[in-house]
Amino acid sequence: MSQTMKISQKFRKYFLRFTISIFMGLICLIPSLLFSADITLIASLSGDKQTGKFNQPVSLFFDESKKRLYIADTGNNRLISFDSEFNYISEFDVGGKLKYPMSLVRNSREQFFVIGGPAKHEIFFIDIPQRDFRRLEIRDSPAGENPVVPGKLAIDKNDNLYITDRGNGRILVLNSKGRFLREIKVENRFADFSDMRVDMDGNVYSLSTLEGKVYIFNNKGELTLSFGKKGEGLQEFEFPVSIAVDKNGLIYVLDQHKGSILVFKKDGIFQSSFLKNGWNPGELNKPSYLYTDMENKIYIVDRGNNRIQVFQAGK
Amino acid sequence: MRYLIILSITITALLTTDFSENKLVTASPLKSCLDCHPTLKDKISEEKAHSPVKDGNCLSCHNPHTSNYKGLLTGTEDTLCYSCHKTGKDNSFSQAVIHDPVKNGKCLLCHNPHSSTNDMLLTKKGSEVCFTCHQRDSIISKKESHPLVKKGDCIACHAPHSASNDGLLKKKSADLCSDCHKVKEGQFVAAHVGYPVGESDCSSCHNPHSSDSRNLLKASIHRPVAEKGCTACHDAASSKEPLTLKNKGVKLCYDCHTDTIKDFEKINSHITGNRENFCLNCHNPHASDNKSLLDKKEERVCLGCHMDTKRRISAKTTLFKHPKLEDCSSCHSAHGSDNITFLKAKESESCGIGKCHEQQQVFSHPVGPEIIDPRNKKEMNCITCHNPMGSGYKYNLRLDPDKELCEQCHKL
Repeated sequence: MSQTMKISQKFRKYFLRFTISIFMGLICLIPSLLFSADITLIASLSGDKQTGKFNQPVSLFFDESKKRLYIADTGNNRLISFDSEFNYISEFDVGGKLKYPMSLVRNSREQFFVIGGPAKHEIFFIDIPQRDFRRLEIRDSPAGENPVVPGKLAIDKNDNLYITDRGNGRILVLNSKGRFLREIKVENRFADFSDMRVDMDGNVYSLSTLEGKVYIFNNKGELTLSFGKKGEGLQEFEFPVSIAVDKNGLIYVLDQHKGSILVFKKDGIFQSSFLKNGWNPGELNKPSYLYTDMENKIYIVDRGNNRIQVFQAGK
Repeated sequence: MRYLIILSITITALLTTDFSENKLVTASPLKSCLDCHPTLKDKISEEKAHSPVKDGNCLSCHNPHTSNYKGLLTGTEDTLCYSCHKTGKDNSFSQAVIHDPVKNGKCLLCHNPHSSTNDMLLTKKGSEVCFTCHQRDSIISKKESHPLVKKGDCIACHAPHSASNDGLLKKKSADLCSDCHKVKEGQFVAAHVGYPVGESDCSSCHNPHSSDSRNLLKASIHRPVAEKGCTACHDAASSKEPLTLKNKGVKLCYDCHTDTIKDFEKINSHITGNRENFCLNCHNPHASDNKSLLDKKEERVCLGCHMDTKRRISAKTTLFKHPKLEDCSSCHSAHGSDNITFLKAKESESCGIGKCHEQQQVFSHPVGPEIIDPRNKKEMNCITCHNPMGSGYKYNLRLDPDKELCEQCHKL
């Protein structure tokens, strides 16, 4: 009888330990489970009979006011627009003048700024109703060591235009009239601002691919936080190429070589990561650009698969 | 009450135990060890034996009974060595640039843990220990060698553990060279067209080890330097600050290399990195032993930034590698390209560059614009199934050909 009791006690002890360890494991997994379980692929755009095949799309922009998605179909020298249900609306190339569009934004007056042109390093101003298409000159900005080489564009709620200057490792900010406001840079001369976004408060979230680092600046251009490092770990960057910030302040970083998105809280604390390398729908192959809209849709330029994939994250 | 009994038993046991039984092991483990390891006897008696060995304290590193580590060691190589040699002499283990074996705790690559006929318990004499890893031919195979290199005195310039300068140099390059070379004397200044280069990095033009050129100059020299036309880039030697550059940043290079501008006007371009002049990310403006005045060997230049690519291609699981993997520019365009991943040609044409895979272009799985990959609706090409950078499967296949590769598209 006592032998049976001993066995029963031992069983209870081990069962308790087992239950506790399972419980603890689940607690650790909850944040990533909650997040990753709530990501759904809702669209995959690679061109069809109506639009023709995409050719190396490089970036995109979602216009919140009009609920329109604009894709820079770079290899085809055109911008293509879709409605919020991803139905094709139209395409335009400014009568053949638009070459190699590589980054674009649209302001509240429905005017576009697009990086492209034959030299692929120029910014163009496009006002379709006014039939206005011209090169944007950046005046009054402090001279850098090298010529200005615009890489990516972003725009804030006041229509201020943000330009990454790849030639000089800085971000230039112009006001809605195209006048220079300020430059943003850090001490490290190897910090390359490969991408950036601006939130509703004017905070600038930027990414240095070479360093594997996120830099956050306030609306005066002062550095408030930097985090991240290169490495193989779950929370580390292999080759981060694009950054976005959602309406809740979560920071998303797209890692081209990992084929995944790493999510961080406002304070730079790692939250989770999702998606993986591959060719099937929902997988990524050398992705190059990331965008989030106000409805928590995540748009990814899945360049190696020559498509745009749109995911719905939990609202 | 129960605890009191346990405590009293423990104290009694401690008081009554005769520790003299273990005396043999603690006092003279050496004798017991040498009974079975007689070959160690000669080594121990050598003058340059490791101090625990001299003291007969084998147990400071070895466990006589069992161990999880090779040689019955009590810990891993690094934990054992660093438990006594914590920081190295003058913090020599922790400077900014650390020698890989030190970083990885592989002390025994250079040192013998028991004894040696060489100083510092080195496994070989002088430079021979360095040449165990650093190929002798790549350092001193040329016609002319630096006298210190000839002497095999590597540590005259390099710190073997760590240093605050690149290349584990003991001092900054200019300071190191000027210790012996009188850089302010007329002959030296005249040889450098009047420029005060003694304050600069000598290895920008000279190979500090050996060279086929006189004065240990590097193999290829930037034309203005070779023609002593320093004023093409710098102010005149007689000016107040003669090393000042004539133009800012990349404009200095573009002044002559006008055709190169177009190389960067691509969808993908390497306009990045050093904001002072991005050409200097990869090139040495004076001289180089590598093609295209690259600052280092091509592979090292590329993998210097693409560290994760380096990790992937050197991973043990990457069993199959492209034979031209070290020659990045055979497939990639270093300045810029309109093709994905800086490929010289479109993905579909890339493997045919230089007629490398001519045969496979004729006879292979159907590829081309009409053959569509059902997974992503892209046209199939070589890269659909092969990973040219290397993979764990034969023929650089992306997936196991006996399992999932074909099933990706051909559903059973």
